[in-house]
This record gives sequence, structure tokens and C-alpha cells, in this order.
Amino acid sequence: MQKENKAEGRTLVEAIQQFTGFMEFDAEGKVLNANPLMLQSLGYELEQVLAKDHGFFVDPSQAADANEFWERLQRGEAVSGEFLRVGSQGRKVWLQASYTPVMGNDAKLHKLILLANDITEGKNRAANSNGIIAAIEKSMALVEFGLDGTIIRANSLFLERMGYTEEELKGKHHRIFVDPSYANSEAYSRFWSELALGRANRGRFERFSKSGDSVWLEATYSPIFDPSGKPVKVIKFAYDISSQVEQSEALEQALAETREADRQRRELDRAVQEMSTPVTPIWEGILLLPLVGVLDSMRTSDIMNKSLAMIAETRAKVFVLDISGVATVDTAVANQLIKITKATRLMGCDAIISGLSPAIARTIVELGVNVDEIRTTATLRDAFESALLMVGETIGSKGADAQAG
Amino acid sequence: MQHWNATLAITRIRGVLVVTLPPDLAQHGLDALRQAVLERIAEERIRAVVLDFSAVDVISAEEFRRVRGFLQAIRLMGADVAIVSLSAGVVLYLTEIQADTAGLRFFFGLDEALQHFSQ
Repeated sequence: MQKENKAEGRTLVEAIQQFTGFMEFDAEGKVLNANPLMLQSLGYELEQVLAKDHGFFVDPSQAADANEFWERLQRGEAVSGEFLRVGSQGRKVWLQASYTPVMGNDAKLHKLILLANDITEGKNRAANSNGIIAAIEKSMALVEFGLDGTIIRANSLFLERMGYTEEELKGKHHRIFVDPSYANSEAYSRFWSELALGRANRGRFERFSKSGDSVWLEATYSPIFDPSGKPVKVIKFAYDISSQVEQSEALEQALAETREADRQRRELDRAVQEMSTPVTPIWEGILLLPLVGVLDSMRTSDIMNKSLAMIAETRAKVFVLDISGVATVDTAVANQLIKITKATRLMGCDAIISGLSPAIARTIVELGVNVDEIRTTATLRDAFESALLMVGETIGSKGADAQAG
Repeated sequence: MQHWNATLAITRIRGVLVVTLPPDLAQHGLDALRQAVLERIAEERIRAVVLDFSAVDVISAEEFRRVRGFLQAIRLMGADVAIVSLSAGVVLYLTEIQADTAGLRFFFGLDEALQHFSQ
């Protein structure tokens, strides 16, 4: 029977040692034995650790607790917990361990059994995650909501930006941050029902602080799932982009103003252009274009286009081009005028150039411009009279008709 | 390819032949038209020929030169000539290339030309 119990005990120990690190110390804390798992965690061979003092594995940061640790063990108390130990080459090793004292018949510490699991990887991962979370907390506004939008907690950045204390927010609904009309809308209900279904939402959101100021947030509402994949809460990560939005709005306004200014300038240009070529029907079949200022190729081209379009539109038979307001007539200007009169003739519309001063007449002759085909008059009145004759009317006859009527 | 039917493009109105020019003033079509018009002038008493450009959107310098030659031939046959319904675009082009239009008579539309030749 005793033999069977011993065998059973040995099997149990072997089973434990298969998955758990094991180290045995004498009453002085010197290593008597260690299993391969423990040696692997610490990075040593058995020969390297035999007879080493327990303190050899203790991280200096935990050395101060050594006295209390040993006092408890001497009293026969087991000590368990997470311990930071030092492996080979100074490598930090975290052990989830229990130190079990084996007391002798004299009630004194006889041996010490250490059973431990290496939790270094998990510890490092947790530290890394904690570091990330701490970094996020420091740099982003963060709020946790229940699936219905009830606020669970908010970090200091969020509280500061929105002007609330944590107590003021806890238990309140998210709607306190949004416009009341939006809070009562179907869109807002859908916003939360989608999140409750586990669908994240990301974008730019306008929210309102406690004092009612508009705050623009670039935010992500992320549902958090339990291990079974069921959404349990929503975390909102947000950046305050109010200043960017303000800048963007200011830029947009500036652009709109620039566009408006540009539109007005173009309108003005068009008006100036209209005024620079005021082709006007002055009688049935007669068009008048009084030219003032300087004629250049651009303006002449405008005059040509507008005149031809007006002739086509009004079916004018005579086109009077009054140049009494033109500052100077040189070869280029004279040629341009001839070009216009030729073009109007091709449209079936005779042209008369009026307002030729003696000086201009002399200049044209001196320049040797061929004006044989152009009908010209000294005054606009003469041109008008000729034009009336060409369309088969006279002022006299109109006047007579009027008097007779 | 569409061929211009010269018989359809020539109409006689009160002793005036109205010739509607095709949009494409290619050598072949214009020659056929000229032949048909000159034969009509030789056979009938035609006072004037009016070339209607209302279907012509574009014209080259060479094409205009051929049209001008066509008009000279008509004149030699003793008929008066006129051009009507030049579009603003064609007018601008002819002005730019300084096409020789001396001695030619232009009217805004067919009505004006017919009115002129009926006087």
C-alpha cells in the first residue's frame, strides 16, 4: 500500500514537472535540483545553478524584500506571487511562482520547493499594451460608452476640451455633446444602433462643449467585443481638429471671396468690352458703332466679331463706323478699319466710316492707304443721311409723313 | 460618299437663277454645277445668278478662288452675279486671308438679292 502511494506520488510530481518549472533549495537557499523547464526559463544548464544561492536569481529591485520573504518561509508559510528573477546574461524573467517550505521534524525549514511558470512573454505583452494605452490616453481624447451611448468614462484630454468633470459626465448620454435637433433625429438613433451592432464609425464630427462652443473632432467610434465576439461597449478615439476646420473654413471663405472678385472682374471686363464696342441699331436696317479711344488688334477683332454678329441678327443694310472719338489713325488702324468694312460688305451690309477729321484724312492719304472702296464722311450726320438714302428713307420724308399723320 | 445633284441645287425665280452651293465645294462638284449653270444661261434668258452660301460653313482660299472663277464665267455669259448668306465665320476667314472680293456683290439673304435684281 505504502509502495503504491509512493509510486502515485512520483507520477504526480512527474506530471507537474512536465508543465511546470521546478527548483529545489536546501534550508540555506542553495540550489539542490532544477527541472529542464525551469532551467530553460532561466537559460542555464543544471551544473551552472547547482549550489547557487537563491539570491543569485533575485532581481536587485526585489532584493529588499528578501528578509521578509525568508522569514515567512522559515515560519513554514508558503509564498506565492509574481516574481522578477534574473536569468543567464542578466535576462529578466517573470515567474508566476509558489515557494513551498518543507519543514523537518524539528519544525525548522528543511527544504524549499519552487514551482513556477514563466510569464515573461505575457508580462512584456501586457506592458507593451499598457504603454500603448498610456500613449493613446496622453495624445487622444478618449471616451468609453455603453452600447446605448451612456458615458462610462472619459480621459482628461476629452474632459478638458469639452469643459466637463468626470463626475458630470458619468452616466450621461452622448447626446449632450450633439446639436439637439440631431439628437432627436432618426440619423442619430441609427448612429448608435449601428455601433451597437458592432459597426465602427469614423469621420469628422461636430460636437458641442459644456459652454456650447462648437468642437470639431476627427473621431473613431470603435465597438469593443467580448471573447465571444459580442459588442459590449464603444470606445471613441478623437483628435480635436477645430482649428484645422476653422482654418479650412477661412480658406474656403477666402476662396469664395476670390471667386466672387474674379467673377465681378470678368463681369466688369465684359461690361467694358461691351462699352468699347457698342454696336447699336439706330434705324431700321442701320447699325451705328461709335468708336472712342485707342484701337488695337484685340479691340478690332472684338469689333469685327460683334459687328458681324449684329448684322446677322438685325439684317442691317448699312453699318456706320464713327471714328470721331479715335485718338490716332495710323496705317495699322486704317487697315483694320478697311478690314471691318470689307467684312461687313461680304455680309451684304454697306459700311460708312464717319467722323474723319481733316488731320485724319491727311494722315490716311499720306500713309498711302487704299480707301477707294470705302465710303467715308466728315460727320456722323452726313453718314446718317447717306445711310438713310441707302435704306430708301430720308429724314425729310419721315418728318413729312409724321406731319401728314 | 454623297454626290451633289446639280439639278436640285439650281432654281429659277423671276429670271434669276438661284444656285445653292453644296457644303463641300470640291473641284468635281463645283465643275458639274458650273457646267449646268452655264448651259442654263445659254439656253434661257437669265438676268442674274445668285450663289447661295447658306449651306457652306467653311471654305478654303482655293475653293473661294474657284467660286470666283465660276462667277467670272457667268459674267462673261452676260448675266449679273451676287453672293448671299455668307456666314460670319466664312466672312471672318475671307477677310483674314484678304480674299479678292472686288467687283462682287454681296447680300445678306436671298430676299435682298431677288429684290435687287427685280428692280
